[in-house]
Amino acid sequence: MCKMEKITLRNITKAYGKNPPVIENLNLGIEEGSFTVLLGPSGCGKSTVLRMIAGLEKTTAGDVLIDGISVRDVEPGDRNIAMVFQNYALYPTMSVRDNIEFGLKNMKVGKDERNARIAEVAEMVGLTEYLSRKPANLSGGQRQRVALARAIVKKPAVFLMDEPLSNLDAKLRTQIRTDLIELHQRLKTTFVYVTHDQVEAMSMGTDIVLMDQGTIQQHAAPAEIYASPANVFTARFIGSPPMNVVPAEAAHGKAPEFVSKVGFRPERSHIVRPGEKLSEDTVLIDGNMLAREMLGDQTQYKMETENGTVFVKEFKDDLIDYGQHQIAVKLADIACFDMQGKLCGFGLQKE
Amino acid sequence: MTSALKKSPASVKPVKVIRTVLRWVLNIIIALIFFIPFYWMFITSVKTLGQTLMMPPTFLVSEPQWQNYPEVFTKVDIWGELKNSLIVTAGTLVCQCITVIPAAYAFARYDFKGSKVLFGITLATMMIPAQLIFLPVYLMFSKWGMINTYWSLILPSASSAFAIFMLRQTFKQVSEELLEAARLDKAGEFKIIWKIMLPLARPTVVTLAMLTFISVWNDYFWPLVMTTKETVRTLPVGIASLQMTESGINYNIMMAGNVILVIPVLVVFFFAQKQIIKAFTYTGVK
Amino acid sequence: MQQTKLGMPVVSEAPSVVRPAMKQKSGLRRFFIAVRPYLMIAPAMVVFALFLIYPIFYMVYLSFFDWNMIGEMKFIGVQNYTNMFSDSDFWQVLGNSIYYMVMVVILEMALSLLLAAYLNKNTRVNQILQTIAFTPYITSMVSVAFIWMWMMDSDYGLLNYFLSFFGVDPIGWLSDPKVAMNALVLVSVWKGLGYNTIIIISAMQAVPGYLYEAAALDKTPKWKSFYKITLPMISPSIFFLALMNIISALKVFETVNIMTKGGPMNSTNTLVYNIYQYGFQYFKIGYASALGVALMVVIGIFTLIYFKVLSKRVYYSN
Repeated sequence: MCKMEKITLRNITKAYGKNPPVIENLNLGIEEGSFTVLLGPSGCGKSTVLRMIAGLEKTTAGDVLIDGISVRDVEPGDRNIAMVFQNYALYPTMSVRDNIEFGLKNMKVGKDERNARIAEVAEMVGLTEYLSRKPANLSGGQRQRVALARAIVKKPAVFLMDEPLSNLDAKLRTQIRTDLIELHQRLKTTFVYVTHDQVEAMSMGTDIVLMDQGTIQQHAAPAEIYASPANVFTARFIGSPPMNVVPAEAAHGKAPEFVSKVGFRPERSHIVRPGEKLSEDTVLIDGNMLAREMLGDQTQYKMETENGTVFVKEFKDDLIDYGQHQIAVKLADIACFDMQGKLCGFGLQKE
Repeated sequence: MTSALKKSPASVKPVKVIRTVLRWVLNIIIALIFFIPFYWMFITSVKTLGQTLMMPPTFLVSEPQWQNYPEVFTKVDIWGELKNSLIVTAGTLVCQCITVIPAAYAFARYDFKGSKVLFGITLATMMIPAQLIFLPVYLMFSKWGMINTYWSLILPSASSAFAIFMLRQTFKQVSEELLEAARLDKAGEFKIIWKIMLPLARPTVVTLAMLTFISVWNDYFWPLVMTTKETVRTLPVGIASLQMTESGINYNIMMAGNVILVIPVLVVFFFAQKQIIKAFTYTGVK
Repeated sequence: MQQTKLGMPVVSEAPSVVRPAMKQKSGLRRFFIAVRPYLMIAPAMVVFALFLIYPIFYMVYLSFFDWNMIGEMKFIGVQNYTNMFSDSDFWQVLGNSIYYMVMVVILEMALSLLLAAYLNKNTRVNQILQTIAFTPYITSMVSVAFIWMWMMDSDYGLLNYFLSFFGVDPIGWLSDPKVAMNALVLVSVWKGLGYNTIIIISAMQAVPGYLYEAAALDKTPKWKSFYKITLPMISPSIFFLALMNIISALKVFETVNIMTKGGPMNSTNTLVYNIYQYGFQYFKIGYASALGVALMVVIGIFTLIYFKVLSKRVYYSN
């Protein structure tokens, strides 16, 4: 059964002044109850898309629909959405409590209901003791939680989040990531989340919308986007280190003619140990080790080959010394891309 | 090594002492230059008329003539003028709030056609002093029959280009995200100004209000030219009218009146020196 | 389902919340949003237009008429201006205004520079002295004028008494035509000194300290580093202040009206006071307006310079 679309972007174009449009003719459907992550490098237009959904930015052409209704003439405050900003945008002169209450008051929620909701949400994000504090007297993580609480308390139909974790340190980021997944599971509302961090996208999203230069490169579930990237950009953006992509000539004629580039994921390759037995369907690449990074459970090698540098990621305990080595890749793990960079499929034929 | 250093601490001392003494003498002279006139005002205000005309003058008074103060009240209607001063000051402040805050917000936060030109005109009006246009404004008010009304004192300064300029600068510094958050919280523009912008701009607003208060309170020129009757005259004009006696100026009464005029501002200044100095030097510093 | 203290059930399953339908903006509302900025600046603009801009044009218009405020207005062309230029009193008044302005600006700048250099260091004593020096600035000009009028009394004044210690004969501060204008200059300088000093000090303290450290390493004497580093660095502020003083000196009225009434022998009559006399004492509105136009031209010249400098300053600070 096809799920209902909560938000629909129809033929959206956005241009600033007389400059060429940053987004042109974009179409996107966001499913009800999904945790959709808009992912892409900075300047790809993902924040603009989010802000157009919120109504903070006007569309130059096209329509934004919420629940199938055009919101062109609906004020941001009337769209049943809540947004968490990158810098939290807490009202500095108001206490935590007033920050959370502000939206409710404007929505004309009754006093008893307000108190109940604030108490509940404060408990939920662990801010009960801090309700009377001013934002300036809170830590970064606490401010982040106030911003979340301010959104949750409104019980919006859609949560919009614009890089909400980028101002936190790494440890806190991981923690709040988990919290957000939990929150989504609990509320089951639609989340639209903007980030440039693929780890955040992969870990939290039920849907990932990968964007580049104002266009959607791929819209799929995380597992799918990893397993079958639509094109070179997607393949290289998801995964760390990125997929090694080299010209098709590197396959020494093994690739069909329409294939222009081939690639393999670093974690799907390994360095050949002395005396190791290799199966028939393996390609060997000569390489000189440039750098070695031991990360505990895994080791990354940066290798120089005749077709440029490639990365190899292994989950083995033995370290390989610097020097000349061979990289082994299974034929089935090799991705083929056509002239446009689109994925044709995985696996090269053995000669 | 040590012999290369010319001075030993012992030989520095006499020079240092002389410098310190000189500095203190100079400090006292500077303080006196600004203090004596105020002291002289006060001490004269508690002298008898005879004492004011003594040569050499006396700097201390054994029997302060406090009755000079009630006498001021019999010569001019201090209470009435005080009331007028308060009405005009408060009226100006209220009017400026109404005109300045929305204008500053619009200039800071909206992108509308002609905003640059209109803001330029606003700034240009800062350069038109009251002393230049008092005559035509007087004629306008007299045509409207508004001479000797509070309006003739309040309306011309019902707005302030300087205040709009300063407040606009402050409003501009507020991050756009904050306003967007408020809009998503369903706050109207009025609420945004009242609940978010103004609390953030509080120091600027207080500063501007203080500037307006002191300059309106002290103003002598405008009420002098706009009023002919005592009923709407403000305190400075009333005090100045003490000068107009048939028998020459009685400086003791005159100075008592001056003390009454100066005290409120001095008291405010005493409690908020830092803020007031900052307020007044705002223009010059930035 | 949770229960709060108030006994209200709390709904945490968001999708079950009933929300109002999204409100669409009406055409009227869109129109309101479009004109809102204009509505917001309108009150201020009306005040400026009515009480600052229009009067300027009205004044220019009046300057071509002969009018005594009561009778008929008679158009006389540029007669008021030709009268003005051929009147030696006008030239005297203009000269007085400019003399006053030049004296105030030079003395004010020189003294406040000296005082600022002396009080520059941020110590408690210096701050107290700055505050004391600032007090006259926030005091009503009426009071200042009366206090000094009293102190400048030629018979019983404190000033002549102090000067007698130095063997100076009594000076007719406000009664001697040669002295009176200088007495007014003195009052103005005294009132504004603290203000100017504080602004110069803040300019001085904005000079980066490493410049002085570098100079000290080169064994530069203090007076030389003041002359070679401080002065050039604060010169934009000084220039700015000088222009502010020029414009405020051209507006002088209170001291003249209270202390001298333009006398003795018209020696302290200034442009503003002269306009006041012609307007409110002789009821020659047209002529007074022509004088106003003359004042406007003088102020305009300095204002133009001021704005040129101001716009430069704005660029610097951004």
